[in-house]
Amino acid sequence: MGRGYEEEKLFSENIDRLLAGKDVTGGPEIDEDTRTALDFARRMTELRVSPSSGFQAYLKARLTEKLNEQESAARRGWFWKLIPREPVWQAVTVLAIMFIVGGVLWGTIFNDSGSQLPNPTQTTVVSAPTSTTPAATTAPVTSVATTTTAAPTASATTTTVPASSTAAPGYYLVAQAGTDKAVYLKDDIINISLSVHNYSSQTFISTHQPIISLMQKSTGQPVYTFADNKGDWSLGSGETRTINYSWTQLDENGRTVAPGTYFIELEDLDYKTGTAADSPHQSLKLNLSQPVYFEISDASPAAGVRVLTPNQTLLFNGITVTLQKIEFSEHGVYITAVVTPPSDYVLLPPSPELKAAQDYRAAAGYSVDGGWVQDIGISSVEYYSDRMVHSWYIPNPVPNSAQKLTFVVNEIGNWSGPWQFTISLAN
Amino acid sequence: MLVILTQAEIVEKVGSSAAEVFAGFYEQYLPKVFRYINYRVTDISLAEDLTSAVFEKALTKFKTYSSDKANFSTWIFTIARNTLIDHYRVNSKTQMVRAEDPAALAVQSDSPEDAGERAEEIQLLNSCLAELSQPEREIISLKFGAEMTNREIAKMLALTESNVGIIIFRAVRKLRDNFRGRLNG
Repeated sequence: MGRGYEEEKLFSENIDRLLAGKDVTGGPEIDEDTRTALDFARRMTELRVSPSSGFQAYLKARLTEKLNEQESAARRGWFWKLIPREPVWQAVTVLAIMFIVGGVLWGTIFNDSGSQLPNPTQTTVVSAPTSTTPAATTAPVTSVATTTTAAPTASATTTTVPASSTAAPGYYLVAQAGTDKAVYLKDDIINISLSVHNYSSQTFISTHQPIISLMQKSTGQPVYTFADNKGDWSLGSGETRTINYSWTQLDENGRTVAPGTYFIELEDLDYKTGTAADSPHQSLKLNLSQPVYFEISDASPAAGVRVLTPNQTLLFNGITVTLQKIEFSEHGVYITAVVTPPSDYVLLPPSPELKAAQDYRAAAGYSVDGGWVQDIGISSVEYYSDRMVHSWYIPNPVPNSAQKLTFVVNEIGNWSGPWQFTISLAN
Repeated sequence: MLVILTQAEIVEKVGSSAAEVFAGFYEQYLPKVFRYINYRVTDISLAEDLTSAVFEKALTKFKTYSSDKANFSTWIFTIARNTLIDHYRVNSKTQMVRAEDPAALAVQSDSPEDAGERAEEIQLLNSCLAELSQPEREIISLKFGAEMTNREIAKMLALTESNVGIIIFRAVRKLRDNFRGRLNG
């Protein structure tokens, strides 16, 4: 015990001070060994890695979605909880119930009255459960909004239910957002689309239309927020409204933002619970289940741009990948490929209800002239009914002298590859 | 701005909404859980995956959580430990120190030179962590990653508080010596 115990105790106290962000002032009672150990512990605390802002946003959105699912399940009655949520199973269940009910009726009628045919008025009607397909949309009200019933090309979806909706039907908003491209050059206009659908039976009235902020991934800070001063914004039951935003790559102070990765975040919505002027205001938190990322490249639009259209196709494990286009610039490479799943695979368009926005993003790598394979990261995806268009951006230029580019898609969502392409760059 | 709530303040909010309470816990514990796991696996993307798994499990089980039985810190780190144990059970042959992308290890204020140096030091520290015994690494992770007190660690691992202190003291000195040796070697 004695001195060793005292040293350890003092050391522990100082570690706790370090972790609390306080300064550690070693007194004369601390020997050299303990002092250097404390210095090293301080360095350890400085070297701790924090979760990235992108990951934090992603996980928060994912947990929000899960929470909404739980609350949604809690709102469903006991009968519907017995039925799976997938539309196919719902249809099968309803058919089975109709069959059983029909059989019972048929049996009852024949038992009761011999071969008498059933009276049409006795037919039991079984209603199908509410479809998970978004309801038909109605016309927009404001000039900035346009409605659409087509599957959006958005790469993220969000489902938001206010906390109060656990007790009452409440508002049930589903939003989808996306950009027209994954990678932009300097001076490009960035077009952003946000669709919001009201699944609830109530009209939603907000004091402003949904506001989006554009966040810089490296700092996690907003660079631009689209202000709204158009006044009240409403969304009727079953209605979808789309808002289009255009961004000229300028921050709040009118300066051009730095090249890099950006993502979209939705600001909280203030909403009213009634139409009267003195109706109480509440705040509705909107989150994206998967952040919508886009890239601003520092490549000059005109300098050294070269486009190849290899149109090479590879089939592996039933998944066809067609390498469609490679755009080389002096600052990087933009690669586009079309991914086609097997013909019997139902590729659902992004919809939180149908869980279609599952992670189909694809991890890829590349090498030049047989060098080291380097990770590119995961793709941005545009979804279509029978295919997906994936794009990757390599933020490094390929030398003009390069003869061969090898591009490999390692996996697409849970589908394992690889799909490896070799592209000749000669001439 | 991140507002750190005390345990009592968070629990006080239970009456309003379980979702809000969970969100409060999430804000407070995400960095700690991530760092605890990152100390154990030293691979950022794997640490992110496992952190996601921990919070998803926590969310699913949150209705069974009772602050009377354990504080949230003990509860969430028990889930985190079990998640890691499950991970190692499945991937027992693949534990390794992976080279990380320096950009992922940099902090916002780092210049490119500082970022490179920091990434190098983190890699070095990860290599040294890999040489600690399993209990030492666990305790270092709970201390520096989860920021638990020696008493909390002792309770979780069924050790005495002074034993935990001694192990931390020895492990830090061991890390320091290994780190210096590698840096100079």
